[in-house]
Amino acid sequence: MSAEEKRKKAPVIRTILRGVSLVYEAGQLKALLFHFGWILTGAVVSVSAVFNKNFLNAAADVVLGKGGAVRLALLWLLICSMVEIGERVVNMACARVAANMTWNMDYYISQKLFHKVAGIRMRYFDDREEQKRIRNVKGFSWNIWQVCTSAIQILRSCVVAVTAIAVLAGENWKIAALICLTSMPAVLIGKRQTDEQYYMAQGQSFDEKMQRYMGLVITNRKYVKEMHFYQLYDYMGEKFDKTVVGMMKQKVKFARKYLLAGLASDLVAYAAIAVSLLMISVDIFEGRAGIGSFLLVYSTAQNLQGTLKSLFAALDTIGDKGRYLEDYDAVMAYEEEEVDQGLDEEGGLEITFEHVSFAYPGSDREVLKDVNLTVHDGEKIAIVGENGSGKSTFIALLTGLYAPTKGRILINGRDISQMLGFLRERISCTTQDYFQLHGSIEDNVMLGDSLGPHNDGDVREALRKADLLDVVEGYEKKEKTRLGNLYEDSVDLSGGQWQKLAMARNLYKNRASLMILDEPTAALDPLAESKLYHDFSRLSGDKGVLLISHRLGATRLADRVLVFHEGTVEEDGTHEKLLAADGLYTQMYHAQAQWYVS
Amino acid sequence: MSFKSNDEFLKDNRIQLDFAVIRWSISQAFRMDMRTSVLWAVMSVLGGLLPAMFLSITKEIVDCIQANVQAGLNTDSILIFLAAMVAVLFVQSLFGRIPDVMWCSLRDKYAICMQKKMGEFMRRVPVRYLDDAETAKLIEMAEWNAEGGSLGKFICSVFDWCAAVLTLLSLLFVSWRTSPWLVFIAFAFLLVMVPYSMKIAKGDWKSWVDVAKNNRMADYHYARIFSEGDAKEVRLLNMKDFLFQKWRRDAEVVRDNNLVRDKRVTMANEIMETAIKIVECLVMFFGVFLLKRGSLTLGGLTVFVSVFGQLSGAVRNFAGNILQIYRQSCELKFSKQLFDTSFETEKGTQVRDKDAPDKMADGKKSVVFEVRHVSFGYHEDKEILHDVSLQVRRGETVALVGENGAGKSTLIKLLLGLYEPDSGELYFCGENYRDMDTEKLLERIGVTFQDFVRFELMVRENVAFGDISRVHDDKEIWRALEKGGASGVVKRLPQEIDTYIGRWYEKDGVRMSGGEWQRLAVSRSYISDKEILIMDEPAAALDPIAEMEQFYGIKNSLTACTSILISHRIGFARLADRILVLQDGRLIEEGTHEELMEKQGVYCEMFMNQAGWYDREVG
Repeated sequence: MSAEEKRKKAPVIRTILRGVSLVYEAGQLKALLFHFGWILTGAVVSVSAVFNKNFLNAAADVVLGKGGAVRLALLWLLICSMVEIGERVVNMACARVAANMTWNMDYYISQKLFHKVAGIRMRYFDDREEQKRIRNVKGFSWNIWQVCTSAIQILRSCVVAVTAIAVLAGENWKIAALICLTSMPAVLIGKRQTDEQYYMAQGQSFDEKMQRYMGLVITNRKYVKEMHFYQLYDYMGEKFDKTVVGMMKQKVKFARKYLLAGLASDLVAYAAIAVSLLMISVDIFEGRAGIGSFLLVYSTAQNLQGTLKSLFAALDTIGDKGRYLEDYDAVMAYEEEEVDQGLDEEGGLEITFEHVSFAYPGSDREVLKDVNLTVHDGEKIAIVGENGSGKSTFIALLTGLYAPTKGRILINGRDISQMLGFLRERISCTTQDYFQLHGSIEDNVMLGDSLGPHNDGDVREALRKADLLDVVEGYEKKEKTRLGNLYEDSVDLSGGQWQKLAMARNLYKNRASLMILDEPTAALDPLAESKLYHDFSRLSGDKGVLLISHRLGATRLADRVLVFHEGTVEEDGTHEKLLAADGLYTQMYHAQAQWYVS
Repeated sequence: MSFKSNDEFLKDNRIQLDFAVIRWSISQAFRMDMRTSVLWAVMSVLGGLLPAMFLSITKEIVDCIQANVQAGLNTDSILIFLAAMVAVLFVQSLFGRIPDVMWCSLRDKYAICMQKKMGEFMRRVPVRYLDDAETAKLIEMAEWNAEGGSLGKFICSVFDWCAAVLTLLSLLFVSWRTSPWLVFIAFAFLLVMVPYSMKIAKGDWKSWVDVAKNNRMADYHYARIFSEGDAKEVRLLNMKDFLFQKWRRDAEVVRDNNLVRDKRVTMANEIMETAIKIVECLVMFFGVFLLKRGSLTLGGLTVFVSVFGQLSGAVRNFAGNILQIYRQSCELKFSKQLFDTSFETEKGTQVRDKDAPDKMADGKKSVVFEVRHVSFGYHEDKEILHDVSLQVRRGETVALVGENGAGKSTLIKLLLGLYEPDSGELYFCGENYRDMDTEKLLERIGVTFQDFVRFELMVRENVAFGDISRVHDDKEIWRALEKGGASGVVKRLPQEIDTYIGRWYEKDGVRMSGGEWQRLAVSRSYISDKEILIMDEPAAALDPIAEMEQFYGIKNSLTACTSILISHRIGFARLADRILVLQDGRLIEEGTHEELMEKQGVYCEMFMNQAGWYDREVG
């Protein structure tokens, strides 16, 4: 197991303070304070046990027929009842206010994270450690909340333990000491167990995830075609079994180990209770105590043991879950993209790359090397190049998703970092793995410009331009038809149709002055592709275009072609000029064109 | 992804247990591991007797001390009782802990066995059943059951419920032994408590179910923000506000619902607790009265003190678990239904018995694939292929050309034996598909699917899946990679062919681009040098030069074998000896490139259309 997996527990006090400050931040302090009622009533358990003892002593006298005993017994019973019912009423009042806290906190934390994570810089998604944090905080707003509950639990446990010890010591101090001491083995074993469990889970995460994946492969219908034709069920089944068996063995071994340890610690604790009861019995026989003390010791001793155990378990929970709180704070401290308000600058959009080099975070390999070029306003540019030559990365930098490692990018002469809002207002961009929203067709189109003015006509117009309107009109609910498997009434679009939808989304943003499209026709069939390219200049109007494509015939429609090769712009010019240059572009062009020579 | 069944749960607020499902589920569980399951059942159910035993023992001890105090000192008998008490406490901890250990291993075991049963089902289900929406939903639900461990949860609830019933009965028994009055009061208490608890538990569940859909939607929109795959467009399209509004709408409904429910449930519980306390106190006054009359011992009074607390705990378990049983059995119903599905007698099975001389070995037949008047549709109402007839001869290369949805890939699936035609006949080397073991096709056919699966396993496995017996044959794997144009990519990987692809479980797994995956998928078809090669869009994600290399590679392999080629790049059809043009599921043209060009039909139009992009300079 690597050091990274042996992650330390969070410091308890700091975690609690941070948890409480978060509750305060969320405006839930009142709810938290009401938990104090519940903390204080912790004392009632032991106190009412004392009244109960007095009641039983009196009751014993009733049995013996002593005079006045009945009145005394009833008096103590009344007191005891009042205290206990009073406790319930206080709890009831507190619970009513405190019930708010859980869900309000959950919502508060979720929306804080939503706003934060939506704005953090892309690079955090490329770093594996940061990615883990982001994933941690996503599923675990609940953990952050648990820290707070555990802190309250600790306070209550302390109150309960102190009063229980006092009550026991009131009977016989030796009993109090004995019970406290003998609770320790259970506490220690419990702590070891949670630690070991955490590390075991970390160590098993590979096997566990592998098991889940193999389970998916053998049961999910997505894999059936391959699994059937290649007859892979035996092979995959074996792999599944192998991970499963090893993991089960380890888990069972672990459970058995702690079963024995747990039973041993229980035995110690019970023996202590027996000894205490024997001691109190002796006291009773010698007349130092009444029979009520027997039950008092019995119930309070058990109560104390349980409380001590839960006290330390709560401490453990805080140390454990505190890790998520640390992750939360780390994520909340991430740098965000500085998106200005998109200053209303008239005029064009000119993008200049000056000696731009770039390597993805955590990697030394330069994906872009010393790129110099200017994208002029309204220019229609085609970008071609081999797989992995840096085309998509170029777009990612140009749109400000990543900052260059060397050199700078200028938007209308100003550094891109100050112009993000302006830039994003003015472009409409469709990446290779474009976003597929599980929602209505209309929403999917509108996403292209969800902040801009909206009217239904524009949506239909965009769909028409992308040659998808006929399909949409065929659906009963037209553009309100929903896509994706979240809905029962949804329809499935084919890959080609989705791609047209992405195109419609791009076209929807009328106010954009630069359209960016990364392989917009990969899933289209030849005629549809051809049609789209033929219509392209009409569709884009006077907007500028950056188009990445492997279809070299279509590139001739561009004013200018950029040929990427191993991270540099190898060739730059018009289609005719590059063909004449007889370089990489010519080579690529002929690779495709040769099949069409008659 | 789907919790759809939960939406239906408790919709009309009535619990209707399906005993067939309950019986089926229990027998499944016991069959999976008889010994541990029985032991677990015994331990957890008998554990239900402990509270009553405990009450009796405390009562006896108190009476004994009382007697001793009256009679003078005698610590011997108290020692015996104390020993008995420790023993009972210890037994209680045994009963508390041992089922936990068994649960820990059984929970996994049940889940795993259910998953394997699912796997067995998927292995035997004819592929065409999966296109049926009804079956698809069943599979989705059954898969969710298997992964989520529904069976384990169900069995656990059943045992806990039995234990709760036993606790209730034994407590009533102890009350009866203590005082007939007490059992009367306890009974009346139960009459009120059981329906009340059921009502609370139902209301609690129902409220979760009410917002299940909102929950799902909120989760979906929330997850988009955290997804690295969506991160780019979230930023580029300024989607934050849009997604936030979507998320908030559902998240607020969920939150408000939860707030109301929690308040309601907490209050209902608190009121119940307070009422129980009041009853307890009243009963105690009554106890003192009985004590005075001499019809109750002091020990009996301790039973009066604690029996109601124990009863209410048991009632809560009773109500909670019966709801759980209902819920889980609603879910398990899907699994039962799925596993009970039987299919029409599959081809092959009865024929294999004939054991006729293996015609597959007869490789001299000159026609490899023959399709006679085949029609086919995935769904009854929509036919994809209409009356298609064609032949593929030995050593011939055939190109299938047509638009998206013309039926090219479907035809391939039929030729691979994954589906049976609705009408018409298919022959492989002269043998009817219906009469042969289609599994044997794998030995002779190498295939690249258009939508190939990207297995997140080692490179080695991804390639060897074309012929899994070669998984440890490094030389063969490298040879296939070489032919598929992937050897360059793989050589750059840290562990070469032993590198894991993807990060599902292997955090050091590499990510592969679409083009790299495609090369691997093509390599898969080259493994073991099959005599027949079927390639469906083997270069769609490649750049022009890689695409050309891929096709030249294919061209070189083609000389040695029979092959079928599909590509959107119409130009590549020229590699073929013969071109088949499909349109709307019909075979409309057939011939060599030259013949079809002359014919000036659909093929010619498609070809000229693409050529148009290039012909200015070249043509």
